[in-house]
Amino acid sequence: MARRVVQVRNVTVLLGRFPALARASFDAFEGEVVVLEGPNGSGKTTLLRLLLGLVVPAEGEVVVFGVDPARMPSAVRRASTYLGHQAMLYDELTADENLAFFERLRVLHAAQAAQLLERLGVDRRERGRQVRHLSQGQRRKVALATALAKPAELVLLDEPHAALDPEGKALLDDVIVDLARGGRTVVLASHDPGRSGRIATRRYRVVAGHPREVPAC
Amino acid sequence: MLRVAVAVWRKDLSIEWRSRVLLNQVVPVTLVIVVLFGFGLDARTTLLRAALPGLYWVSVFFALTLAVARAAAIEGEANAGELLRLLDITPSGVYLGKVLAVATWGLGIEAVAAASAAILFNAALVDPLLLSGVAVVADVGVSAVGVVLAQLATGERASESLLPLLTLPVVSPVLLAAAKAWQAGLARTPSLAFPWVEILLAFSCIYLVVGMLVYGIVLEG
Amino acid sequence: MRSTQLRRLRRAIGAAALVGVAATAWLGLVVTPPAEFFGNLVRLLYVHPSMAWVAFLAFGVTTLASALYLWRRTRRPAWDLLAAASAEVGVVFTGLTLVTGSIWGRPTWGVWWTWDALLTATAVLFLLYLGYLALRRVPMSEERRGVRSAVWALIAFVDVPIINQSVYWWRTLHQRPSLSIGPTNAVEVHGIMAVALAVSFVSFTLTWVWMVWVRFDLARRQRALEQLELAHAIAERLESVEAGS
Repeated sequence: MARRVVQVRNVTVLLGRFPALARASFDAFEGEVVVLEGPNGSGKTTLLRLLLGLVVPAEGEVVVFGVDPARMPSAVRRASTYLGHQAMLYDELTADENLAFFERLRVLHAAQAAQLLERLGVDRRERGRQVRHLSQGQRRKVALATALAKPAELVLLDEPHAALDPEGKALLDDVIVDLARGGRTVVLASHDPGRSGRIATRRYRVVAGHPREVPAC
Repeated sequence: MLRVAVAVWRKDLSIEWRSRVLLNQVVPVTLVIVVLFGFGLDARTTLLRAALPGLYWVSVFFALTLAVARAAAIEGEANAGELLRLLDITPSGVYLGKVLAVATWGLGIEAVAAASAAILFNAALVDPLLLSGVAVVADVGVSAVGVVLAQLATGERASESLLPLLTLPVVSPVLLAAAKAWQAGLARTPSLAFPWVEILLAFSCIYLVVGMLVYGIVLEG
Repeated sequence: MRSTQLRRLRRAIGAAALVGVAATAWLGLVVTPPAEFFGNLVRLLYVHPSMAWVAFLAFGVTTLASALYLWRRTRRPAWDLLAAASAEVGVVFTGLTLVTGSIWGRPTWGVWWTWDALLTATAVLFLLYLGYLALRRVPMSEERRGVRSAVWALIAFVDVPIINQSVYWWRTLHQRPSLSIGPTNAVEVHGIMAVALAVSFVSFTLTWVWMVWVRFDLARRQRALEQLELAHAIAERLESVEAGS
């Protein structure tokens, strides 16, 4: 059996006064593409953030790479990459400048990210434009490329298909499948089960802060 | 850490180069404040000249607060607080980079304010070496405090009106010391400026260290 | 059992503070004689220094509690609540110190305010802690607010000696050595006056203890209430999960 990368047991997470996760349990193994499905507000995002120690469980146990992310966040974060709803990009800079900044921080190799961008359909000319002038879809691709170019064992993607056109979605699927084949673990949140079901090795349905595994059919 | 600082600094400068928010908004505000002082003191040049050190530093302080707010807004737009945490980047490096960036902008603000005060108040800026030295140290001190406080004041939404309330009392010794040092310089008695330069240096060093220590805690908390 | 004892203790402190303040008023206004030089003004002496003392005590406690909160091993929500309670009371007493000082200043110096070093430093301290209270009002999660206000309290604490040094130089270098710094320097204290002064120190300190305690308790109850509501919300959410399955 593949190595267990993520283990969540009976976790409750409170966001302010709102229990975003209620007794949630969840696993992910090496090389898997685990898809979390469920309506908006069901707790998918919180589950991803939990794995990075960005939210702290009120009760229950979280283990990622053998450690508790709330206690040793940097160990977990160094080996993971995360793409949230918000593109974490500097709007005033061009896509290339954003990549160069992250390269200077030793987060990724700009050349690799540029290759990924090429693959997702963002050409050289668009890379030289300020991010705020790009269309939603292209911005999303730049954000995806920065997140995916980071050499990380655990890839956490929150609605990665949002804002992409059908072609872009298909291209992204290919990239994700390749990542998993290369031994990375991908956890992906999506409210569109038809889309992500295709690449999933396992699926969870998250309802009211409680994930349940969907039996493979 | 220095590598991170330089990367952040370069990034902030190129963002400002693109957006020109400071150039288009903060520098004019500085000019407005200087002109308003002229109105407030009934355009009496002798009075203005006598009060120049204080008026100058009050203008610079408000403009610097705006620059600090802008520096924080850049990171806010990119949701960078979380980003930097996720990428596991040395917070003290980020802090130094932000301080460097704000201080660089601050030098520009100080130069503009000095030129406009000299012209509008009809004053000669004697002893430019002392004056600019004081300006640099005070600039670093205010930036060192401002960058931490801007991060502190950022809650779920930015609260810009809180920033001056937090910053101005903390940096009040800098205002005092810089104004007194300038007074000594303009009066051609530079030796009297030394205790004030000492305070400025002490303040800047202390708060750079404090900032490097607590910036990470503030980001994570 | 213990909590009722504590409550009784608190009530006793409150009562003692009340009696003490009344005694201070009586001693200060009726029993003690007017001073030779300052006349009836000297009666301010029985409240002003003790108020200033309580103000500094309050901020000292805020700083200490904030440091304890920041240090991970001693991090308890209680430290944060204590720091906040003490700062609130401290702001009140700093305000009172400034007001009584001002009342003293008007007849003695002829002005409501003078840029004396001690006065200026106290005013800046007052502003610093107004900032602390304002920061606590910014909406954020409980822990984040705790950490940030604690950091702010420490930054303010580091600032105090620098402010003192700079305003001291500001008002003394190249200036005629200014008016006597505070009321205490100018009056000779003896006999019944010393008694009144001592009573005032003790009773104001007790007042501080009582106020902080009440405020702390209130904050703790608020917190407990919020957690109770949370528990309900979790239970409801779990029920909806069960119902959905």
